[in-house]
Amino acid sequence: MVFSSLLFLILFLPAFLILYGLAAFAGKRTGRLSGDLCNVVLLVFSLFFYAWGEPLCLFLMMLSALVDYVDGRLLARFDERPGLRRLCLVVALLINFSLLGIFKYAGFLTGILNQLPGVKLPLPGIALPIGISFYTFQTTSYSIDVYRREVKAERNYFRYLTYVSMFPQLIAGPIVRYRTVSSELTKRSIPLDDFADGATRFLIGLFRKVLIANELGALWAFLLGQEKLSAAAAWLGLLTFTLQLYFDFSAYSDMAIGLGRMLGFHFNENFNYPLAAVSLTDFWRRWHISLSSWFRDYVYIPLGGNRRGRAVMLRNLFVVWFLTGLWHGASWNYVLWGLYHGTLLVLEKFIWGKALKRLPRILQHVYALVLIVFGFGIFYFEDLSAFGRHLSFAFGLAGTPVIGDDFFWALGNDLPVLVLALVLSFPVFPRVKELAARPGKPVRTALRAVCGVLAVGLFVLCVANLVRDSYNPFLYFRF
Amino acid sequence: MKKEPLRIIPLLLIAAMTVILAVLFPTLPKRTFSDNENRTLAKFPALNAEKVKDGSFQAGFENYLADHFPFRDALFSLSVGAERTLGKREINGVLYLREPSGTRRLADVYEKPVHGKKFVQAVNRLSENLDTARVTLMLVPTAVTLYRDCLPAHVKARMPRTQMQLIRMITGGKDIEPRVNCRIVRGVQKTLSDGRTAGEEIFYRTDHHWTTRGAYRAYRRLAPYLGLTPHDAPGESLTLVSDSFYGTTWSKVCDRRIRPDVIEIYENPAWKGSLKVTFEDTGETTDTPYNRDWLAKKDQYSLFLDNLHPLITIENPDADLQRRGNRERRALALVKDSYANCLVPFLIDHYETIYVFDPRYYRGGISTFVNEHPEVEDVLVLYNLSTMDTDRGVGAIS
Repeated sequence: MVFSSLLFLILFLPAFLILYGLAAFAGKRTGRLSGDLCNVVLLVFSLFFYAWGEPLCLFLMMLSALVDYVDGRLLARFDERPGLRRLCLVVALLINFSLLGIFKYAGFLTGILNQLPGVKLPLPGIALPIGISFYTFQTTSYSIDVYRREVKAERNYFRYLTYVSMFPQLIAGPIVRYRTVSSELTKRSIPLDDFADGATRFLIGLFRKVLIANELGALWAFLLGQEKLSAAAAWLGLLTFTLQLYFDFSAYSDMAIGLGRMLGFHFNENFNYPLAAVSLTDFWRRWHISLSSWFRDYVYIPLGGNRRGRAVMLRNLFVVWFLTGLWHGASWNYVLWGLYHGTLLVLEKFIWGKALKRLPRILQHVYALVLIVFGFGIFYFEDLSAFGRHLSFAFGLAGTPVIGDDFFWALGNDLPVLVLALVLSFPVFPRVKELAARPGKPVRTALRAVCGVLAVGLFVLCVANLVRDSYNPFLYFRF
Repeated sequence: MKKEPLRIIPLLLIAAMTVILAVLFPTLPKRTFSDNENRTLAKFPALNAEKVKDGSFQAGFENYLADHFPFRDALFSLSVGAERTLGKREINGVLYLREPSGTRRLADVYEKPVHGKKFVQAVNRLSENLDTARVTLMLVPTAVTLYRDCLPAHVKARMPRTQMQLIRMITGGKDIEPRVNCRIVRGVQKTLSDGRTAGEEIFYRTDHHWTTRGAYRAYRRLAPYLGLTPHDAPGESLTLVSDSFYGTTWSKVCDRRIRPDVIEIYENPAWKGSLKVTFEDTGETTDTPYNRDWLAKKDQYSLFLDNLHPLITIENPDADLQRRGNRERRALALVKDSYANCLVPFLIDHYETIYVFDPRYYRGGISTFVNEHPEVEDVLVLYNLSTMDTDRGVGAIS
């Protein structure tokens, strides 16, 4: 099930919220831990949510959770025996990453092996279970944190499963760590203010996904379908895809964080206006934060980080960016994309980072945006020759004009949404809020009223758009 | 609570809307057919373990939900209206055209050629299979070609191939194999353009079909190829049967700002009581090529020849045979798409018998049928350039 579907918005979510509310109310009256009854509702709905799309993969997810739950229990039991603890962790990680390897990378790996002379393995043909990259990273972070004694092992499997399967963040992140929500899993309160904030955040995500990302997706599909592209249209295409991916993915995080708050959980932010970055180093502090921090905490730093000399550090960076790329998909272009960013980060660190900072701010933005957009070109095209073709259009090597009908047709149809997407990629909202807070109450009230009317209108429009096309898959399902 | 009713009220409104929709969905009566989309709506999917396991129940349920969603048509219009307001020039494959006079009209996008070659092969096969009857091919450009000067700017990016290129491909045969081996009615585009210049509505503004006036122009153009002396311009002799026609192109955008079309038909009073129109699939017979029952429905164009039938036989004992030079063989076979449905009435007065085939549904071999009916002198293949190119049924023409 996806958030931006009629099924979720109109049937699943209302039914869930009503039962969850009743559970919270009943929990209060009977004086039991307020989390428990709510957790039951949350767990049942989460399993249903996941099973709706992939009934069989549900068991894989529950198995993955079971492995780390058991591992956590064992780590707690063998508290005094470092050797055994180490073994437990290694076994748990092996199982987790083997499952991920089989279900996500088996086809890719077979393809590579088949390139060797004399090797001819049959392709396994396994369909990727939704969200496996996300929940594998979640469950392993739990095992490692327990091993490091940074968090206490969970005693109750169902509570642990509730954490892993929690539908707001199950299939497309953010990668919520157990330690972020462990206390809220047992006891949480939902002040009305929090609930309203969460609902608002959810709606913002919904609008960004349905009204912007989906629209941009259609434009990108149109440009991709052209036999030839002018250079301007080729670049517009890459920019459109970048914006689409950002709005799609960060909208999902908005909805996840919003839903979390509505239920009494506080997830960490996952995006912080990444397209407004002034360098790639800056970009990675703002893009998919829960993933980059996972790699920092569980790969980069354990490998020695930057404290063991330049050579080791370069190796570590290479490993991290190779894996970051690979995490996004079982195809070379993702690896290439990871290494592209890794290389640029190294160059910024050692070569031109300081010079870059002395440039006018606007040039820093241009520098970062061009490299980001180009990077997402690598990211998009799984077929490198198709990317080559696109680049030959972008750099005018295919004999197509610099600017043509395709560009103007695209702009003529989608200028409003493109401009809106670009503007909203920069921290405009916080700025407006700041300004509105200053002059005093009347302005703020007026702004509130406008936003309120707008929200209701946009919600109706979202439903209308969903009625119109029931087809709107999230991009990040592939990962 | 931070005493901010303005923040809570919109959320409450949205929650209320959601709950109302959730309650209305299971309680509202369900339609089985959507007139506007001209399709049967999804049924509630069968529920069993196997279907849940492979996900087909879930997919079926989501289709069911979308198809029977409360206020579905209104929400659809709203979504399209919002896009139109934001300046979109193409919506759901429909282009908004503006004539120099300011009139707005809709036209379907012409996608690139798909089955052109297959079509030519099928027509050639038909030609080769026939013993004595000869094939005449008439291809009709659609509204995007006739009104190409009214298309939105830069539409070339969306439609790089024109229908005229396709026609040249088929008829010129310069670098395209195979060539058509039968006679082709030339100048159809020009004759329709002349009609437009003369101020006639040649195409419906809201439908993908041509009007009766457009069909009449084409009939005049066709006449010499079949050896006919055509009737005079119908002018006042056309009967207005509807002024509330919203066609299939309009259904993709449901835009009430576009005015509905009128439908005119050509009727010869002499047909009454003597003409015999037989729908071979149902066995029904009438004395008119029109079924006015359709005027009460959304799909009014189906009034012509009663929409879809594999084979219709039209017998006219009072045919004016002089207008065909009193020839021996007094029958015509017509192989066609729905464009021909409003042209057929003009041909009725020239032939004792007209066999009208819809190759998408007729099974049994058109050439076999024609060879068994030696009274058929001409086989007219009539298609519009969009159907001919995209309809998979064309393979069955022979």
